[in-house]
Amino acid sequence: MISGVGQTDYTKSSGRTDAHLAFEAILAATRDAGIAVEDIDGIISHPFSISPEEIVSGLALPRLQYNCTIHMGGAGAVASLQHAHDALESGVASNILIIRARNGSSGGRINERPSQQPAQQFRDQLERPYGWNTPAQRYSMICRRYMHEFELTREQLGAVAVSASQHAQLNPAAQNHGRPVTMETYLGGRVIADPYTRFDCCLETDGACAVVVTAADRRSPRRVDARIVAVGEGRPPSPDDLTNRPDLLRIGLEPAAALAWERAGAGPDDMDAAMVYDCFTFEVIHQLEAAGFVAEGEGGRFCAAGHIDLGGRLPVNTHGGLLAEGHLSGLNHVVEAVRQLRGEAGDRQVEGARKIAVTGWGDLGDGALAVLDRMERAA
Amino acid sequence: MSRPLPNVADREFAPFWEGTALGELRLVFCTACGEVRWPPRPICDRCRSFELEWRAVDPRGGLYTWTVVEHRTTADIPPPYVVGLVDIADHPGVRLLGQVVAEPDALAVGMPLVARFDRVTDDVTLVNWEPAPGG
Repeated sequence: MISGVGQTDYTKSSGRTDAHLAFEAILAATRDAGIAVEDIDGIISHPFSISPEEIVSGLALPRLQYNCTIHMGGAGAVASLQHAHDALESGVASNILIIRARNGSSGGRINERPSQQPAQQFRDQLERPYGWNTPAQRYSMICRRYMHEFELTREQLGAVAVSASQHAQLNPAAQNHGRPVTMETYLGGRVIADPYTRFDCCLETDGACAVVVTAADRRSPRRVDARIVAVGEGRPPSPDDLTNRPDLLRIGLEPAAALAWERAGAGPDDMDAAMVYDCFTFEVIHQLEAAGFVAEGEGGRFCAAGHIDLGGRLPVNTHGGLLAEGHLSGLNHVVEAVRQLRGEAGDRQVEGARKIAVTGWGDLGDGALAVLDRMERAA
Repeated sequence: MSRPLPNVADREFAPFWEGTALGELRLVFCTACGEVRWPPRPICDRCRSFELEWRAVDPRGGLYTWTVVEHRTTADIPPPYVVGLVDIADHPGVRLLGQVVAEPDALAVGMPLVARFDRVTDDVTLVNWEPAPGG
């Protein structure tokens, strides 16, 4: 089960180091889990981020006995749940930490930071010399191709941005709380990398969040917890190279979701909400289709019809997502799913939420999907 | 900071850049099974052979998708500019990325393009694309 979640404030300028933010989130998550900080004996790490050695040193952890690093970019947060679950099942560790901490806004704009993509040689030889080096520039080409094959309008993309913003207005911790994006604002956004404009792109965020995963039979401070039902991860063809992928629309989430649904013994129609890795507006539509929530080509209309809004058929990213809550590499999507399943989401609570899917997207199209459910103990 | 340039002495890419300097578009082929291998990796993903050779190919293709960059992220490459993914006509499955020298409004999936070899420094000639004559 996911026994603890915690976070810092999400801002444009934290005034603290990445490590400082990480430690704040870890303390909050262990407090929420009802364990001592010293009880953390496993860490699933994110590449290019705070190391397990720094965490052990900063918190004087006496017995870290399990660590691995997941190389799936933004899909890593969701994929980490599988590894945490497996490590608990095997008995190699008891309380496993997953952490994302970054000064993603004040620490330098995205095109100024070292790239974390695989196969840097291809990026250096075949891509950067042509002025193609950011996620917006890369993934906008996927969106453009989709527009050729299926229907997708600016208003449909805008519906994703506006929905995320409306959810963030119900989330006081969101970076864009109090700064709503309307359809009019969306349509007036300047072009970044066509078809993506300013409001198709996620936020850049300073902050941290953390999750503690513990065996489901362990003591919990709550009567209700979120349980990991199943996880699947997957990669697209040529995961080290987007440009030569036979079909740019095929992504790792397709096989990942198929695995997760099979393992969970459940399907898209059983979900009460979905947290979808929304690095860009179209990626919500793309992933809703790839995970089977809606048929290919139907995602734009689905979003524009309001089905992804709170109160809709499938509320998506009730925290505001990367578009409006903050960019915590998708671990904030896991945190939100846990709060929804516990019934702790306040004004943005999905009534009666019992099962939630969380997706991850990362690097050049890697994907993961987790199914979480609400686990109640006898009083 | 100046514009990013490829290392033309790169062990696996040097023949590519030697070709572009001569106005040739070269790709890697597996000498064991004959398949084109792109981008160049040390092993053939079809037959697992390590043997390869570079061959010049017809530098024509069709536009698969594109983006128009309007927000500047690369030093010395001022926006707006078009970056496209080009299907190489004679070698299905191979694409090259490059700038497309055309008006954004004129772009369409499938439009025929021809390579242009743009010398940007004494050592580096990049491959960009423009509409094919009569295309």
